[in-house]
Order: sequence, then structure tokens, then C-alpha cells
Amino acid sequence: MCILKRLAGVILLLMVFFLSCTTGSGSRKEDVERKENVQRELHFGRLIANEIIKKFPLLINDKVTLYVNNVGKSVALFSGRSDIEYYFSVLDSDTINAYAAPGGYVFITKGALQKMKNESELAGVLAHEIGHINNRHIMKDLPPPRETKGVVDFIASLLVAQGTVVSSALNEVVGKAAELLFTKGYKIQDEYEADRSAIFYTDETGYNSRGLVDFLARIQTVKEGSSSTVVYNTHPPLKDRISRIEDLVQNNRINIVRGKVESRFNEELKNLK
Amino acid sequence: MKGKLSVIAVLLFILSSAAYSRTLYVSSYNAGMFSSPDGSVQIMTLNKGAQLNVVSENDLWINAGSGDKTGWVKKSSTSDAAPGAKFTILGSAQNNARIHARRRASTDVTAASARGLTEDKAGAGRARSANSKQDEFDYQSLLKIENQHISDADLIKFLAIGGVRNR
Repeated sequence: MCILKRLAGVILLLMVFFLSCTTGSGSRKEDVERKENVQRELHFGRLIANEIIKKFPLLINDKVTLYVNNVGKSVALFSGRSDIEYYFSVLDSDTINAYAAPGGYVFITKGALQKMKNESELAGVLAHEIGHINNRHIMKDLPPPRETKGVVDFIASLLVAQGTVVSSALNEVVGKAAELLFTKGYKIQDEYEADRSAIFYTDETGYNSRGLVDFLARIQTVKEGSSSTVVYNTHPPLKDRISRIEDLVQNNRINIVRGKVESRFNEELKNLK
Repeated sequence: MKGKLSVIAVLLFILSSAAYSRTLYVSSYNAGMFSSPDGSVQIMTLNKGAQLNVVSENDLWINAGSGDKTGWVKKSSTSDAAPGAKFTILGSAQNNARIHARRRASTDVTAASARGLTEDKAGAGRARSANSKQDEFDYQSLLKIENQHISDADLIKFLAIGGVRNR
């Protein structure tokens, strides 16, 4: 009987030990998976970014591009995702819109910049796009296929990064992602989530978080169907978004009395107006 | 003997349970800890990498302990993995792409000259004119986008100069 009790004790100890070991190895497995997922996101995002610059050429203006990068990367620094680099580009288009591709690619049109009044509005719109990336909206809705494994995967990933190998399955998903960005738009819930993220990101960065609302309210007055709009096609009703953001700001006592940084914005973008 | 085994088992169980409790990390450059989940009264500033032992949470906020303080932190400033090095598409792929881009650029210019196009126009039209997927890839534009690097220190300086936040 005594031996049986001792045996039970030893078994209990072994079980506890096994449990602890399982936890440890699980974490390592999660790390490897996380790394693979980020690499997959980067390569997928690059292909989608390529689709965006195929549709709209990049604006060739180093000063404006640097400024937009300074604002965007500053917000990204306070967005809670530090495992990727974010890239901000201006598209030479008069339409009013912004796009995000997985892996940190953010685009804003010249038309959107021209409608803005200050830096907090720019920060708000870029933060909304960062929100789509960080909440992995495209990655969840249109997960890219896992093509190969191990060493073959690594080699393939380099080739995919170069664009020399794009399987038909991957190509199809990239096409669907482009359709989502240019025609269908994100799910309404994804847009609301990106708005929510934007308010928190800009607040943490130190910007006046009313920037996004101010911008949305202004473009609401742009007539639908005019040559400068596309936002209506790909986003939920602006009135709804503005109302939800106002509630969020109030409920979380977000600081909206900060400065909006107008003079630097006007100086940096004076050649664009 | 039985008593010792029980004590060890209990201790191990507590330790393993602790390993299961939710731990998050500050993954923004820094994050405020507030006395309530509304951002009204800030208790302290947590730096990137600070460990947070989660007590409770809602959709937007986490009630957590860090060091000897407990308070509310915006969920959007945290991550379940300790912040590490950034992953980028550049690196080994960059060199390959650069070589490839150079090779393609020279071919394009030659072909464009025959059509009477300048180098710039040839570059702009490259992505759209080709038939294969390979030729639809605008390496030069992508590399231009991906080569925009600004250090964290410069970004903080940029924010300070604009009066957005103190250094």
C-alpha cells in the first residue's frame, strides 16, 4: 500500500513536470509560427502593394514623401506592433482615399492630402490604415496559401519577394485583395475596428485624435460621383463612422484639446496645394 | 516522504499555474498606465518591453500589474510576445531584387530607346506593358518605398519639434 502511495506521488510529480515542459515547448513553437506568419504576411503584402502602384503611380516628390513617412512612422511607433517596418507612400491620384497592404505598406492619395487642413488629420487617416494592418483584416479575410515547407519555402519566399514565382493560388488571392481594396471594400466591422485603433494610436502618439473625424466630416461634403471621390464605394457611411468615433472619444476621455499642428503641415505640403 | 512529495507537488503546481497566467508586453515606444479604463488620470509611463501581468480586461483596456503598480493600459499598446527585432522584406531578398532591377532597367531603356521613350517614361510604363507576372512587378518603385528608414530617435525628435509630444 505504501509503495502504491509513493508511486502515485511520483506519477503526480512527473505529470506536473510534463505539464511544465509542454508549456515551454509550446512557446517555442509559437515563436516559430509567429515568425513564419510575419514572413508570409510581408511577401503577400508586397504583392498587394505592387497591385496598388500598378493602379496609381507613386507621386515623385521626396519632400512630401519624407514628411508623410515621418508622420506615419511616428504613429506606427505607438501602434503596439513593432515586429514590422511601415512604409508610407503618396499616390499621384486626385481621388480621395488611402490604402493598406499587409506587412506595413500604407498609401495615401494626393487628392486626400489636398483635402486635409493639419497634421492631426493626416495622422488620423494613416493611423486608420495602420489599424487595418495591425488587426490583420486582409490576412484574416484572404489568407495567402501556404505554398511550401522548410528550406524550399525559404527559397520560394525569396523568389516570391522578387515576383519571379507567383503560384496561381497566390495570384488569385492577391487579385481578390486588390478587388477588396479598389471595389468591394473591407467589412463594415473592420472599418469600425480600424477607426477605433486610429483613435487610440493617435492619442498615444500625442496627436489630437479629432483629426480623423474632422477629415471624414470634411469629405462628407464632397459630392458623391465627383471626380475626386472613391471613398463612398469602399467605406461604410461616413455619418455612422463619425458618430461611433465621437462616442469612443467621449467614453475613453480621449484628449481632444491638443494642438493640431497646422503650420508645419502647410509648410511641408505647400507645393501640393 | 509522503508529506515532502505533496509539498513539492503543490509548489510545482503553483509554478506551472503561474506560467499559464496571461502576460503581455508593452509593444509601443511607450504607453501610459491609467487609474481607470478611460485615460483620465495617468499613473506612470511604461517603456517598450515592460511586462504586464493581466488581472482583467475589456475590449479596449487591460487592467494589469507592472512592478509595484497596477492600473489600466490601452490594449492597442500591448502584444502577447516580447518585442524583438523587426522583420523586413529587404536583406537577402534586397540584393537579389536590386541586381534584377538593374538588369531589367538596362533592358527596358534599350527597348524604350527604340520606341523613342526616355528612361523615366520607360520605367513608368514597365509594369503595365509586359505580359508575364514577372514583368508586372515594379521593383524600382517597391525598393524606393522600402528604403524609407527613419530611426526611432528621429521620429521622437520630429514629434517634439511639432509640439506633438515631449521628448
